[in-house]
Amino acid sequence: MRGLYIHIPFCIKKCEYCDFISYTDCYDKEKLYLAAMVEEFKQYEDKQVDTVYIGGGTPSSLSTEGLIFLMDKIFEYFDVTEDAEITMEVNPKTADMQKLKALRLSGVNRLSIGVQSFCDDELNRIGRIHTAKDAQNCILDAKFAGFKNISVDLMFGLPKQTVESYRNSLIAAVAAGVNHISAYSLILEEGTPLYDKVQNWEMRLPTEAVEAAMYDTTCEVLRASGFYQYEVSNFSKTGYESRHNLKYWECEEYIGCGAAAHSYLRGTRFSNHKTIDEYIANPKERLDKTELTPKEQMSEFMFLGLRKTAGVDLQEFECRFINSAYEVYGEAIDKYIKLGLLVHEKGFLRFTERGMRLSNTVLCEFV
Amino acid sequence: MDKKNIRNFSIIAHIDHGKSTLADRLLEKTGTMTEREMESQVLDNMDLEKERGITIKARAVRLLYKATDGEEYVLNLIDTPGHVDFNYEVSRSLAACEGAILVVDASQGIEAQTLANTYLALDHNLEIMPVINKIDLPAAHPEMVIEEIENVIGIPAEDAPKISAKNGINIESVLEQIVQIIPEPKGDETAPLKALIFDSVYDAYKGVIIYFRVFDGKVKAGDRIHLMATGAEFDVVEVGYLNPLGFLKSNSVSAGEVGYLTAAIKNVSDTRVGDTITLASRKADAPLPGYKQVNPMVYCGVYPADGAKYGDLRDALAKLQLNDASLSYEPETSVALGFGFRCGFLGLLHMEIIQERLEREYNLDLVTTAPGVIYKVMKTNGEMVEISNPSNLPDGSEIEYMEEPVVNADIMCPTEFIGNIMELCQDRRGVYKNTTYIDSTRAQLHYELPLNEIIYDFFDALKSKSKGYASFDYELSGYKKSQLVKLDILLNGEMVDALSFIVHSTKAYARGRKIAEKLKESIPRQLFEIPIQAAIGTKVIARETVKAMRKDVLAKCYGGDITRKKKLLEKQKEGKKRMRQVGSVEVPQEAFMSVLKLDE
Repeated sequence: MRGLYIHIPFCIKKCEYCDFISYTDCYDKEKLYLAAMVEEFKQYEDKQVDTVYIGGGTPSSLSTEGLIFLMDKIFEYFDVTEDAEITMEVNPKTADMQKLKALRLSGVNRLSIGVQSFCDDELNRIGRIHTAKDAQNCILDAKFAGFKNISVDLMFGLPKQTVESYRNSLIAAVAAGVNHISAYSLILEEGTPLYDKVQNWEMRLPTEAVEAAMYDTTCEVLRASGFYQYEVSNFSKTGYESRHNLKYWECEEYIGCGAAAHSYLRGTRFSNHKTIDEYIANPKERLDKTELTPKEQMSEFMFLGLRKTAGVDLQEFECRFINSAYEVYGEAIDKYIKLGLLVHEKGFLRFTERGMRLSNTVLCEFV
Repeated sequence: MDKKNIRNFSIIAHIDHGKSTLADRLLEKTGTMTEREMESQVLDNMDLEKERGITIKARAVRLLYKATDGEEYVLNLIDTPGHVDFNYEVSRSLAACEGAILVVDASQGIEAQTLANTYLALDHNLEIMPVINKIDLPAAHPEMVIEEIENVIGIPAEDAPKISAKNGINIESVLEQIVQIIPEPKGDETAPLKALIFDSVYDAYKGVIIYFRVFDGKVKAGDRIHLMATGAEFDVVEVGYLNPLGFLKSNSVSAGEVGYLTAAIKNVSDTRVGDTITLASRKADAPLPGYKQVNPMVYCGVYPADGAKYGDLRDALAKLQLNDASLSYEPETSVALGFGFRCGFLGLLHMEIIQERLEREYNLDLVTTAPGVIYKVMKTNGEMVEISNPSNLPDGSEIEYMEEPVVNADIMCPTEFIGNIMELCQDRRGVYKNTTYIDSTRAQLHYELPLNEIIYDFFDALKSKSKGYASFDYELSGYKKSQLVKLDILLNGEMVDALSFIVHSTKAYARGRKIAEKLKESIPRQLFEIPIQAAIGTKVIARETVKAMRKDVLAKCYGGDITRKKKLLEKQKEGKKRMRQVGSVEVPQEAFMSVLKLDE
């Protein structure tokens, strides 16, 4: 089944590390933007989807009316299944109890809260607009508003972050009673303010060894707290995996709506206009249309699938591509099984624990 | 043309003192070329030469000048390479002339190369005509420089033209002095042909084009010529003069004149610079003096970064050699680098130029090994072998002793840096000979230095220890017994042949340590720990460790933008491709080169 992704490229302030498509000072265009999105929805009329993910940017920074309008339109134009997972990303500073209640009542049933850290100094350094206290409150409010499925994002490898302070953030997240945690490492991207600061020695990032220790800490703390790792950077209580994100790793189809959103349908990938203005003017125009060759599809199936701890289903591979994974990638598979980074078990090819930590080295053999 | 109206001359100068710019102005002023036709600095016509501001290979050009005495003169300007690596070529170019213009920068004064080339010109009995250039610079001291020329070189300079080649100031006086000061050529047109080859280039259509100066007799199309050193004989197809914009065919070229000839010659190795051309039917009784076979002094292994390009590299070297007989190469194989060539060069600059031309003109990505020299090895069985590749060094038990090449080096520097320079030479195992003072502020140090100590970074070190003021010139003086050892590098316990080199025993420890450190920096972490060892024989003298990689995982959220994730992996894969598999270790190409620059 297909997933639906909605991109809301609006932010109150751009974070220091962020290189995603999002714009500040554009809230006057909220109405036009949502209207354009409805235009885009129209061409997908009655398409069935069983996951919806509203990401950004900061979707929760739109007005409550705007968000309700958006939810109504999604249900109006798409055939959203009864049991669909409907997630919205939330910034703790932009969602009060009223807004959260409205979201819950309009159909959102899962929240992904961008906490990043429970240390105010760390939050401040990376330009987040909220505090640790705001995040605690937001999680509580969400629960009162009726959300049972709550995820938080945490980041490691932040400027001046220590293994100890990161461990505290992990523990705080667990203690707040969420059932899904995404722990991402900070990637320094060219063109971001943080990149410049690091280049100019104004900010220092933890060393590779410290970052590796943080990754180990994530696994250790979360495992001890009843979470299990189902993907490189995603942990959940059983049954609370992000169904929408799993679609990406399993090469399922998804429809992306909104500026800069990507779609993957019938083996073809395309994207929308990047800027808000261009998108509003041409919400239906498809850019960078690329039909994936069987070889590319195989490669993606492998390098995305292996990111899951369960690994890739080798039988599924053969069903999709006729050839077996061994016929195509036998040499690389054997090499890394010998090196103890991959295992072949019960019809699945997956990373060992050590292999997961060194996954890129292995994954690039499948590209 | 009457001999009394011919002038054959060279321009000699230190690098950057304005030789090529003056040549341009002479061309312009004689109307040989209009400004528009002129690509700046016509004589240097290789791209590389223009970029580096040096003239690599000699060229010649014929200028027509109407002097103030009303007569028309032919001025043959024979350009010379401006670097110590090409000393022999310089000497042959000078031998083709009666005089030389000595260009000295009015702000810099005399430098090591100025002196070296001037002495070379005096050795050939040339009339030296000083010219003071760059007089328009704020720092110019023409009077001081004139005094310096008179004191140091001992030639009169009070009438030297004071010019600015760049801005075209006073160029006429240079032309007038050429006519007045430089002697007309002598020679007997009726005697058997004697012509000196001072350069040759390969042309795809005409074959080799020989540039020559006729001393006696004359040569014309249809003549069968005999090259006295190589013994080769050819039938001349075409002769003529060297116009700046191309060749000017003529019936013959005779005594005193400079010209070119073609004879369907396929290889420049048949037309050695310095050889004497005579007629097969009427041979001269003796060749012109001064010919010698030039031998490479510096060797290194050159490998294609992509093994599949081996054939391309071979073809490119063959093509370069068509034009450059001093480049030598022979196939060799390395366990680490695969198939490649051991190439011999006149010197370090020559090596860099060839490498750069291979990369630029032939689009090759190269891996080169540390440059080395030819060592002589006396084996216990009494056999003497020459070694240019460290991997071929016989086993220690078979070696009686080894010899290494040494050079006589002249280093000129301001007196305030003498201490630094002496320290540097000492460190490079130099043997101090003496110091001469040019004036109260400048000295010339004479050292005997092992060639292997100066072939890579000596020049850079010299510059940095003298704030850029020292200049340097050297000449091979012979071989000396020396306590040399072969230093091997082991990665994960396996020897990497391409990283072995020969070094003096007193420096082996320091060098081994530095190389191990450098390699540690340039070899990325891998799935297992990699010991890096430097060893002499079985004795390990230095060790570093590249720790195993702990984490290589992309834990960033990219949502549906899979292309980005893919691009990152593709980039990583591309990086992997550029690695050399040495045993179980992946070594980046840069690692092989990084050990060349140990002082950074």
